[in-house]
Amino acid sequence: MIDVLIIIVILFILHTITDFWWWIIIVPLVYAFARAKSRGEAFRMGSLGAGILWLIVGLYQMLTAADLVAMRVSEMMGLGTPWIVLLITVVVAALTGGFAASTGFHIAVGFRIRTFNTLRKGKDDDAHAR
Amino acid sequence: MRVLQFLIFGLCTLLLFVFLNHRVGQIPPLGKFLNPFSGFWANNRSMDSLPVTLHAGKLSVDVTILWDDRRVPHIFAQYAEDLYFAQGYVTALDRLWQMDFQSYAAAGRISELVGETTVDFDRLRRRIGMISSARIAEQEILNHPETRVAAQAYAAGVNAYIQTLRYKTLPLEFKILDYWPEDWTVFKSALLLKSFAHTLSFRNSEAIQTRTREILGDSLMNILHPFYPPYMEPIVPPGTPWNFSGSAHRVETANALGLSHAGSYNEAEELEGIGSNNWAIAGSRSATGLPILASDPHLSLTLPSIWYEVQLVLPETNVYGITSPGAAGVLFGFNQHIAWGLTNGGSDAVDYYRITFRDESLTEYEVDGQWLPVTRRVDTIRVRGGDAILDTVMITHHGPVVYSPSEKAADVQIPIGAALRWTAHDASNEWLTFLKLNAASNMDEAIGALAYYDCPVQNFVMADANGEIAVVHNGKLPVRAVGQGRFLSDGADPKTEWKTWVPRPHLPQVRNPRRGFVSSANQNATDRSYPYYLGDGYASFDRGARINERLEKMSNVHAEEMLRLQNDNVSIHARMLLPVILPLISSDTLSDLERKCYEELVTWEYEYRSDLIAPTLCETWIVELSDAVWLDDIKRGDEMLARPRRDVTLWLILSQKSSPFYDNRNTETTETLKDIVAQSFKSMCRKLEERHGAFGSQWSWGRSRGTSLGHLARIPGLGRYKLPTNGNFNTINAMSGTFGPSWRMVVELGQSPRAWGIYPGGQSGNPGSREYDAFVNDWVEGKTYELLFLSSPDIQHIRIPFTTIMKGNP
Repeated sequence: MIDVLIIIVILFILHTITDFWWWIIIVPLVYAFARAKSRGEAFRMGSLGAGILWLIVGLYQMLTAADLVAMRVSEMMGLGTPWIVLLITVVVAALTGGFAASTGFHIAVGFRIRTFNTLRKGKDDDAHAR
Repeated sequence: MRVLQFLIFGLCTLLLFVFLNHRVGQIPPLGKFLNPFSGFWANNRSMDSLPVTLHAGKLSVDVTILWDDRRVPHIFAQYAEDLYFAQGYVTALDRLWQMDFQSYAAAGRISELVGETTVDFDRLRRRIGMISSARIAEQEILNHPETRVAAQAYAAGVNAYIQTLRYKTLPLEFKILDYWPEDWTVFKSALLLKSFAHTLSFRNSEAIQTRTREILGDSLMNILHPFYPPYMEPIVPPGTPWNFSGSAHRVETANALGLSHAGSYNEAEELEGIGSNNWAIAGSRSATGLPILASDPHLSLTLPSIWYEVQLVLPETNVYGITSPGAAGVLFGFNQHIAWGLTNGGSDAVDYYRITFRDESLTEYEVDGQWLPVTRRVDTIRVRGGDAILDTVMITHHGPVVYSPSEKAADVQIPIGAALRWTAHDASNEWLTFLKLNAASNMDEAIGALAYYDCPVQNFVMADANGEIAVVHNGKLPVRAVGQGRFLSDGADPKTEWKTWVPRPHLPQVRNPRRGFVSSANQNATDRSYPYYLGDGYASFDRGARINERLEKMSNVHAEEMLRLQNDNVSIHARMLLPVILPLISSDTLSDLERKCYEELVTWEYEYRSDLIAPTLCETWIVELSDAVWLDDIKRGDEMLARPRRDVTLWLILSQKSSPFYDNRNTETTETLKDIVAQSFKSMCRKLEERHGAFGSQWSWGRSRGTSLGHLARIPGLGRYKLPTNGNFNTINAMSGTFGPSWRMVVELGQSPRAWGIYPGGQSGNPGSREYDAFVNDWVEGKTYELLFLSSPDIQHIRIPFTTIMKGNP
């Protein structure tokens, strides 16, 4: 859980000072490269980190000043309600973050920073966690 | 295995990146677009906030901008450069995307933004010479110091704003269409002026008129499509003497009436004209003892609105009004001394010349028995996501051949294999007229300003604080024989070319008439006694006649009555027609539904009000009746010839108790007027029931017609749709499904002028702002706002919530 939190904080800072959206690729990828012990864990931290952040900020926007623009964009996309726009926003972030983090994990494996053992160990950790 | 997994996830991530970072078809780049920090979510109401101080450009002295409660900037500057710099900056702040997009559209560059779907549109814009004529206009602007200073300072102001942008602060439509704004230039402002010329003077029916004449012959043509309309209410009152003769300039040619064969030709439906009103009453009729001016230009309605409201103050001038984003100064408005407003003039500014090519290589064409070379110019249309298109434009001494003989026209009104001659191609500097009007201090100066104005021809109504009123039908008018330019001209015959222009002192105009008012409503400028023939592209008499009949009865007038008159919904057409045709209905043969419809019409007072059903009935009936009278004459097989105008149908029914036109030649029986009136009434009831269901509130004018303000780039969801408006295209409140009064203004001239106005939109171009469509509901209801005409930047006013101080960069 702490990993997800760290990803959220880093993403929040980068998103605030720059306008690039693809931090939700870079940050989960790099973080999972360094920290993830299994692909499942990587995907989870990436998708939760990006998804939760975009959910919170999107929700904040929608409940404050972005009510009108969200309404208009939902009409533009033929979606009926702005809630679906928010849902798509979150899905985009979660999917992107998840795949990016998984890629980061596999790069780590490729560089032999993680081994099959740690791969298995990661799976064991998951089992313990459950 | 490891490699495979890496490849799968790596590839998925890469694909996600590519998909989410690029526009795919109509889908915006979703990663960028949905980012809750800087994507569309950021284009919210917080973007309305205005800066307290601004550092931009090289201002000589600080500029003070007071923002009123409707977000109208009141800009106070010491020097013209600073003023127009600030105007450019604040206009870009509110309307940058609109300016940018309109300049793309005018130049035929939309395909660069949206892809191949708009290539035909772009090709047409380029072929009719929008870019080359804007280049000429740009030179004219730069050649004159007043317009050069204004245009360059304005462009610098726009660009200073563009430099502040980051993705987060980019207007919404840039994010949807995924592109960045270009730097603003004087050329882009010139394009905007040419775009006005296109909107207001390019429409032309030579192709279909020539074809109709070919089929029907001259004698029928003179009845169905007379050169002068059957009813006239000209801008210059009938009986006004002309103290000059125009005949010396007449074109003497046997073929002045143009060709009788259309050649290749695309079918076109003619649109009913729609346009604008303006009038001014003299002090003899007003409560203030000084003139009151009213102006309401009608245009295709969009969001963001075509207009932006502004007050511009220099030590020596103080002007308030509307301008189009991209044009410095004020286009419709008033200052301490004068007020002015425009309506479209309608005089013919476009002729087409059929080109006789020597052979199929299309390299030479005939003029006066000689063969001249066709100039070819290759134009490049860049297309987003596709290959650039090289387009060859053929140019003759008349002008460009818009479509070669083997092409199909993308715009059906344009004849094929014909060269275009258009006054917008010639050098002129209309902008100078507006800047001089902004600063004019009396009627003489205002009329003097019109000398620079050529295209599109406009009726300028003006009033000054000394009590003068005037209307001038102003522009560059080719001298023609009667009827010349109605049909395709022969490009091989030099006698059909434009040689001279109507001299400015001969232009139709009225100054301080005895009747105490001047007015225009796109109708004929003069009656037949005027020594020049100006064309036939005018609105019918009825809207102008309604204005004049109301003004004639008015005395001791206040501004409120003028505002009410702008919202007048009475149709003179219906008032003339229904008392003649309703009695022809035998009420004892009617069904229940027909009886209800009949009752609605009998009790109707000819007002096109949104809550009434009668206007819906009347409009449908007029169309059905027109079909019954004309369809058998103008529909030949699959081909539809030009339909006679409504006023011709009205004249026929009012003046001819029997006529061969009433008979439907496709039936055995011989129909009379009574027969077709009854048939069309019944078919009207039937069709409305099919369209709107059982007789009831769905049939009301507001619901069955409705007015939509679509988004400028037709992006769904960003407009306002089916608004329950009053009025019709031929009532003073001239409204249709997509057209309507784009600005209503009334000005009481005086020591300190008072004015009211409204336009259907809002000052902000941000669809995520309340200011985007803040005025729309009030506009539908016919309300207006008192305009805040300030004299000093130090004023404390309850309606001024915010001030911006603009400073030069240190």
